[in-house]
Amino acid sequence: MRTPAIPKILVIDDQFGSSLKDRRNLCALFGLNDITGDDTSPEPIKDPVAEAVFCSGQIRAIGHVENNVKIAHDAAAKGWPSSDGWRWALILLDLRFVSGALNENGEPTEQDGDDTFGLSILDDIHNGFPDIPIIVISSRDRNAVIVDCRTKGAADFIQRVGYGTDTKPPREILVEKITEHGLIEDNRTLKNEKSRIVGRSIAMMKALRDARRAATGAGNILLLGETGVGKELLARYVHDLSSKKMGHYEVFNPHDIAETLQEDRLFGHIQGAYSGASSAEPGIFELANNGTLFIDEFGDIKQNLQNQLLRPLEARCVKRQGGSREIPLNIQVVLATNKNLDEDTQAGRFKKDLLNRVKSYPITLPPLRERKEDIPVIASQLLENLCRENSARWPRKILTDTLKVLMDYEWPDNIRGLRNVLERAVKNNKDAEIVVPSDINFGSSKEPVDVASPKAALEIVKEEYSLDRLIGIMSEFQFQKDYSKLHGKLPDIQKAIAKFLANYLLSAVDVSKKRRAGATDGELNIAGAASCMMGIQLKTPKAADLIKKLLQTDKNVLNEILDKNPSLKEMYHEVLRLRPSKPNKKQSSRLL
Amino acid sequence: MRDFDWNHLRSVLHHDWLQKYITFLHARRDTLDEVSQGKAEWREDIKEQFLEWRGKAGLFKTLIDSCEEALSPRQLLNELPLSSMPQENKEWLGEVIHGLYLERTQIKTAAASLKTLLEAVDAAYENLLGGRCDKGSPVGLFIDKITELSKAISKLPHNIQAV
Repeated sequence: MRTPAIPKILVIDDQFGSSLKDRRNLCALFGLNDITGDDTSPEPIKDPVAEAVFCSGQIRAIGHVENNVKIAHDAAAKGWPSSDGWRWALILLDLRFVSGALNENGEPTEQDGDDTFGLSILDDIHNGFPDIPIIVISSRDRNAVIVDCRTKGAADFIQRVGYGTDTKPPREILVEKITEHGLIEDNRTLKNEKSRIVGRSIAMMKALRDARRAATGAGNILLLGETGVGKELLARYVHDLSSKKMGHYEVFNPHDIAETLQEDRLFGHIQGAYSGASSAEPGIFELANNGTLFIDEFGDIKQNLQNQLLRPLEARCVKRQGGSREIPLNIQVVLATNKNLDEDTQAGRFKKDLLNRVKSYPITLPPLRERKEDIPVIASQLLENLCRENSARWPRKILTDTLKVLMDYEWPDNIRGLRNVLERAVKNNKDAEIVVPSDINFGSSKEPVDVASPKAALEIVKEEYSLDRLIGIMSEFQFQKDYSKLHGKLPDIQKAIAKFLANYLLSAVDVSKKRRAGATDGELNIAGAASCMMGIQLKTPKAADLIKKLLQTDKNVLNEILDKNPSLKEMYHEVLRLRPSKPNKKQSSRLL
Repeated sequence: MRDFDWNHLRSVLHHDWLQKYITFLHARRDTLDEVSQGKAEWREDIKEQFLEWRGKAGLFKTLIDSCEEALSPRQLLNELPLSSMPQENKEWLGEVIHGLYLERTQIKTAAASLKTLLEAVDAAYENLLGGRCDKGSPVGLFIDKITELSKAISKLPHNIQAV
């Protein structure tokens, strides 16, 4: 398992960049391992906060030293990213740079100090690499320089004299700055490595940084992102880094509980609140008190429950069902959804009041296709987990060609989809030492349809069907010889197939109409529509049979389809007129 | 001392040297504590850096002693256009301007305070070398005093003060 890397920072300072003696002192003070490479005997640092590369921001020639922005720029570029793929967590930048004459020992003689040369470097690096956090470190009074520093792009400022505060050691100050501003990987100490959020793309590290910042606050935290991007993992990350980390971590997902039971699950009840409530029970809000409550699929919560969430999310108090007493809570609430809540609010599906209470600090997780550089490390971690879970051979290497296949794919189902693909590869070849391109079967990158899972069926129905989606689902579907066992288990998938076929027919109907020149509409053409769909010429009787059978795929939804599509309704009546005999009783009226 | 010379001295002493020295003291505090308590011997590189104060103390005294004059608006009488005034006018006007400046900025008080601080730093330095301290850590006392000195210097104006 990959060990998260220690953060790497760039220090741009004329003194510490050139004088090894002074640099060693700074490293000892801030807990930095010097990895610049020009010190033949750097001091070992116990429990380093970060590894540091030092750059003077100057050119030294015989007899003099000169300030040079390009030197600093090039140093920043070398770690953005480095040849090994890591990136600067942040840059520490001095403001005053001293240039001028040097004696034969390389020591300054008559030198000029430029109190603001650092601002030139700041301006250059911020424009060239806007995502690198830059912290100015200076003995200048903060109030005198902070406006210039912030307007040119500095994220923060550390004052050298007493290092800003009299109580915190410099090492602690640096840890705080890295935590608040730095772009760093998930470096938590974890009992279970499966919980680690893997990735060092800029997008992912920004999301982690946003999560750390949110974790220090008191408001609600909203996690946004497509299905399978890791919102639940990030919620756990927030909990682990917050002041509530010693408290309980509770999860609520409306899809895991019947709608009628959701209110009770959330708020609990007093004894006798309803028939069957023989004793008082706390809800999940209370169970998460002094800890974190994670509400997943927040955008799918029904409107009546949305109303009841207004007060807990704002005032941090709940009432149990049947109770009148308000129970105060000390709780962190993290909510996640893949929905566009702004759109849903405009459409009336989501309460605006509720949205206003949760969107003060939204954090968006990037889809996998926007962080493809993370695919190798994610795939490696997933592969190890899957091999262990399935008692398959480990270690197992992913070939470069295989990685290319993985990185060329667009991953509509994100990390969950990647996991499914790798799981298939592991299960299909438990004893392999390597994963080759032919092991990768995208088929459907969606979750395999679980015949017994109502949740899977519900998710399917929610989406607008595409051909790829349906093919994917059907390729995973476990058909049975005794089809009566299928009936009723997945009515929604049958309904969706019927609608899909109807749409398919509608396209053929529209194309095949007999139109006069210049006319936008025309006469229905049964034979033409059926021939279009099948790709072969069919005569009217056979065409009518085909169309009737197709529209009768699911009689439960037939009227709905016909009501919405006048052309199909007209065609259906016509085929019934042409072929009035009832369908064969032995024919299935469900799946074709 | 002219204002630009004074500012140059200030930058070299305070920004360029003192910040590094304070960094050194904080970084090596544990080692210096052990040495001052007789629990360890001096490491040559650390001793060399520690002793740098001795060579700089005199320069800090010069900086403090000359701050009153260097920051006085009386300096402007040495530059055009004011330098073209008759000498006798420059003399009385200079006295008036300087008097106003002293009254408004209280620079004498600041300078006196800095001198006291400097003496305290020197005393703490000698105590540390001699392993003497009435209470607490001699290293801690030295660091506290020199940090106080640095902060006080930071608060001095950077330019000639207009009145």
